[in-house]
Amino acid sequence: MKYLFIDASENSTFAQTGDTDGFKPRSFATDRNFAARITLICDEMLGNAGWSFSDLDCLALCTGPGSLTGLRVAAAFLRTAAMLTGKPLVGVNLFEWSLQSLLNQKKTGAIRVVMPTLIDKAFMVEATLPSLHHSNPELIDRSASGTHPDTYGIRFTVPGVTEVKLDPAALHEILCKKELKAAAGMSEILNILPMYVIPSQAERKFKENL
Amino acid sequence: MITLGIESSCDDTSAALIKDGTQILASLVSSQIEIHRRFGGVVPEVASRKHLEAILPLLSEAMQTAGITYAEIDQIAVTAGPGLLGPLLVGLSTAKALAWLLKKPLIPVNHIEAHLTASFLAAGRRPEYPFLGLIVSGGHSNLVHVTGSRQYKCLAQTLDDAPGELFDKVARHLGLGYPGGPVVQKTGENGDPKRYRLPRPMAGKGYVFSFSGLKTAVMRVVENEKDALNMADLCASLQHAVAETFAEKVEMALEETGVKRLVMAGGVAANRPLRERMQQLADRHKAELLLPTIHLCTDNAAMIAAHAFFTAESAPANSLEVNAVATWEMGGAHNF
Repeated sequence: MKYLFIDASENSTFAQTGDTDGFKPRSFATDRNFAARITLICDEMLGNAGWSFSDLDCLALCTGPGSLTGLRVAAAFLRTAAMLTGKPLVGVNLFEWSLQSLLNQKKTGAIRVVMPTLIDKAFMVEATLPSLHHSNPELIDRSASGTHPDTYGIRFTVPGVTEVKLDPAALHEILCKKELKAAAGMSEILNILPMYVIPSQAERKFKENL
Repeated sequence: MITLGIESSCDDTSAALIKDGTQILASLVSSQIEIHRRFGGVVPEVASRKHLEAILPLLSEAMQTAGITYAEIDQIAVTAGPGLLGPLLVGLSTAKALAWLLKKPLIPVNHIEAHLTASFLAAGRRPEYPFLGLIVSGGHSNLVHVTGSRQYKCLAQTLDDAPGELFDKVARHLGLGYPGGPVVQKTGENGDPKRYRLPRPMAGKGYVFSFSGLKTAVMRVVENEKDALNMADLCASLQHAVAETFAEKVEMALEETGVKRLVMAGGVAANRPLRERMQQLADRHKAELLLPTIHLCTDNAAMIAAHAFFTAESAPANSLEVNAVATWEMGGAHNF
C-alpha cells in the first residue's frame, strides 16, 4: 500500500509519500507557482520514494479549508489522475488531520479546533477525542476564538488558543486507515472536492441583498 | 493525429477531440450561463468551482462521443490564457495530469488566437495566411493583420468596453436579461435600425474602437423617449451602430493591406446584423469571409485543439511547467 498525498491549502505546498515501511514528508516553497510546478513536485516525491506512478495504490488530497486556488489545482490534478488510472482517491481535511495529531499527543475529551479565514472570521469545529468525528465547520468571529477552554488553532495562535502541529505521522495513520476503504468509481471521485465552508463573496452579497 | 482540447477560461467548461486539426470528433460545452445569470455577469470564484465539478464528466462524455480511448490521444491542448485565472487553472491542472500520465505533449494555447482558427475549423480547413482577423467578444475588440502562424500585427483595439460588454451593460440597463448579445438581437429582430440616431464612435479617427459612448447614447435615448421608447427599434439601432463602427475600420484595413481574406471570431461574431454587414463588405471588396458556426463562436475546446495542432511547434519543450496567464497577448511567448 503506497500513497501520494498533496496539501496545497497554503502558500507552501506539503506532500507526503508513505507505505507500511514508513512515510516521507516534504515541504515545497511554491508560493504562487504551485500550478506551474505540480508535475515536478509529484516527480520529485515519487523519485524520493523510489517509486513510479504505477506503483501507487492510492492518491490522497488535502481538501482544506485554505487557499481555494491551491486546493482546486491539486484537486483538478489528482481527480483527473484518479479517473485516468483507476487509482482510488481519498480526501483528508485539516480538521481530521489536527484531531489525529492531538490524539497522538494523548489529548482526550471535548475540544474545539479553529482555523482563521481571510475575512475577520474563523472556522470552528467541535469534537470529543478519542473520536475523530467532528461537527460541521461553522463561522465564528475571529476575536471569539480563544473564549472556550481546550481550543486548538490550525496555523493560528492567539491568547486562549494553542497551535496544533499538523503531524506527518498522524496524517500517515489517517491515510493507512482510509486507504482500505477507498473506492475509485467516477461518482466517488466526483465527491472529493475542496471544502467550501463559506460561499463566495458574490453569493454572500447576493443573499444579503435579497 | 488526435488532439484533445480543454477550455475553461471564463464561464464555459469545454472538452473536444479533433483529428488532424480540421475534423471535429467531439466538441462539448457545459455552459454556466444559468448559474451566473442572477449575478448579471460571471463571478470568477463561482465559475472556478463549477469548472472543477463539470470537467471530468464532460471529458468522459467527449471520449465516448468520439469513440476513442485515452491511449489514442496524441497530444493535449489547453487554454493557458488570457482569461480568468481561477477558471484557467482548473483546465490547465486537468490537462497537466493527462499529459503527465499519458506521456503526451502538452500544448498551451492562447485563447484569442484560437478564436481565429475556429473560423477555419468551421469550414474544415487549415488556416491560410495572410488574413485580417476581427475578434469581437465580451472581453475583446481587436482587428489584427495575420501574416503567418502566430504572427499578428494589431491594427486596432478598443479604448474602453468590448462589444459584448456593451451588449451586456445595455441589456442590464434595459432590463432585458443576460447575456446581452442574444437578447439584444432577439429584441431588435423586427426593429427599425435607423429609428434612433446613435453615434459611430471614433468614425474617421483611424484604427481605434470605443464603445462606452454608445452605452451612454443608448441611456440618453431611454431618458428622452420615456414611454414612447420602442425597444425593438432601439436594439436594432444599437446593433446597426455597432456593425457600422466595425465596417468602417475593417474596410479601411481591407483597402490598406490589400488582403483578400477576412475572418471574424468571438462570441459577438454570432450577431446576425454584424455577420450580414461583414458579408456585404467582403462581397464589395471581392474578399473571402470566414465566419465561425454559432457553436464555434462562443468559447469552445474544439478551436483550442485545432489551434494547438497548427502551432504545436511553437510550444516550449517543458510545457508541463507553464502557468496560466490572465493577460497573455496574442503571439506572445509562453509564460512560465
